[in-house]
Amino acid sequence: MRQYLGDLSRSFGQAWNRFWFTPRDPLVLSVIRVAAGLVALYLVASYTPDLGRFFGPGGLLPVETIETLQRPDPESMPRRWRFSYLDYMQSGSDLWLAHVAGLAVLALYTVGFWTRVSSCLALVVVLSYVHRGPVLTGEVEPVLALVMFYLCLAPSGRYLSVDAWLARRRAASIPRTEPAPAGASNLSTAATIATRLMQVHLSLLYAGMALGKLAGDAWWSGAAVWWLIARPEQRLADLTWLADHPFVVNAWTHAIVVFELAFAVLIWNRLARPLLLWLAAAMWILLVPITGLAAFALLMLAANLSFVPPDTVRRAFSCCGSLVDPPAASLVEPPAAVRQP
Amino acid sequence: MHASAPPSCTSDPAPSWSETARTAVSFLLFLHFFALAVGFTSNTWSPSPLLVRLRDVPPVRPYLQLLGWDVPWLGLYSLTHAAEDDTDHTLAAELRMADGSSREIVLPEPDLRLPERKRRFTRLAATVGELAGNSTVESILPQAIAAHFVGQYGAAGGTIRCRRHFLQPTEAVLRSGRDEIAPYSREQTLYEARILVSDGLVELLKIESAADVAPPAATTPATP
Repeated sequence: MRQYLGDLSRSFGQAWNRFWFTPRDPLVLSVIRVAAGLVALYLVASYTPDLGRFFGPGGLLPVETIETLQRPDPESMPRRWRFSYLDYMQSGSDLWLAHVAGLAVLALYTVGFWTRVSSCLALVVVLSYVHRGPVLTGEVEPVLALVMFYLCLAPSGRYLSVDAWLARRRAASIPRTEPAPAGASNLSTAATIATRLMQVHLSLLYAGMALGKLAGDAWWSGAAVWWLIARPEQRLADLTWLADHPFVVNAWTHAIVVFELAFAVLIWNRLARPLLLWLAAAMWILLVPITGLAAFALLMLAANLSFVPPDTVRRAFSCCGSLVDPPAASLVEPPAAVRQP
Repeated sequence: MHASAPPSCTSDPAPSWSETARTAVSFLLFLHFFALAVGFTSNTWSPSPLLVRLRDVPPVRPYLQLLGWDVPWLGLYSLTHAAEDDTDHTLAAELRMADGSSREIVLPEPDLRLPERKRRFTRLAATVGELAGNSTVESILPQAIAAHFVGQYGAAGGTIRCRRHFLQPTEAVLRSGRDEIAPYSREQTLYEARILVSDGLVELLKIESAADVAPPAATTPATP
């Protein structure tokens, strides 16, 4: 028994270390950063025409109204902890200044400039809009927040970024007299932790999506996709002609539920993973015309990339040339032996 | 597309962090997943007393709420329930101007092109609809919205209402033909109040009679 418990503990420890602490290439996270940046930029920029109308003085959602709405909820956190810098913008001009600054931060984040700093600031910008107008948010914001939060933990600016381009330029301009430090590599433990966090969270999210659907009769009866198609305010394309083809609607409905249930579990199986990732791409792309959730679909597709190995992504982005090449030495984490005193 | 190499692959580089760093990070991972698990399981329709108590563990709720993750995951990602509450909502205000004329405003405005803008106004209207019937909070949002309209258009009074629009079932579409049928089967007024303006202050006087009606052609939102 003692032997068994010792073996169990040792194997668990080794597996835990392999899963969470084996360094990996942050290329995939860099691709996800660009996609998350574009979605965040779109979401925040889409507030522009209605900024004053929602959040300005005399707007539809004064800060006091949001505070009063949240106060009756005994579980609710005090407003000061739901931080939003937009709460402190007293005049219309302050609000516009903050909005433009927020857009600038998100643009820097997307192009990867000062990425370690801009990734944290970009998360603050997105959460500020979420906390300022919680009644305006929907499916995409919690997913965007999780993706951006995990990207803050990793060197997501190592590829596809201005940072990488500047580092490469700097490295090219300095005549190299010594070889690069032995053991220097483009692998990062922080990238592994961020990737694994995203993967586990995504599995939970798919499980939640599937369970949420199973709680409604329409997903059991096979009619749910029809109710999405029939919603004129949301859809991008009119597919009401599918009323003549109930089998297609039923099959589509059940396929979504089965896929989401399968994804939550089977994505951890190496053989099933490629199939599930292709099915995920098909599912999200097909859902866009009937739900209008284009930003959400793009974000889910990007987050799914966390399950794709860096080499596959590098091959897919080979058209980007040097942007996905291993970075210059100045951006690379020094090897453990070099860091140790 | 190729699958990730299994973690047990012999070519994996060895962990580069010290044991102390790995232990500290593992502890933080445990806290993170604990909060996440509580958030996921307690945001359901009827969480158990244990889950409710677990949410009160000091860092859990602030952590989830600060990161915008304290949301009802099951409801949020169901996309549709095809149930009574799974409908489109609109907010409409009939404003009485000082010169005696009137003006009608509908949110979301039918000519909004950007889907995200339309979705925000729909969510605002849906929230007003969800809160209707809860006497503590039902008038908070409509009051702010009415005050905005009064300030923007200089209205002297009027009416504000939130309507729920029920979708057409497949049978109705098949029976009537796609070209002839209205986008909604019927609509219901969830909240209705008179807007009273005195000395620059806006107050609402709730009208209790809410009824189901067939959708009038003029107020039916256009199909995009």
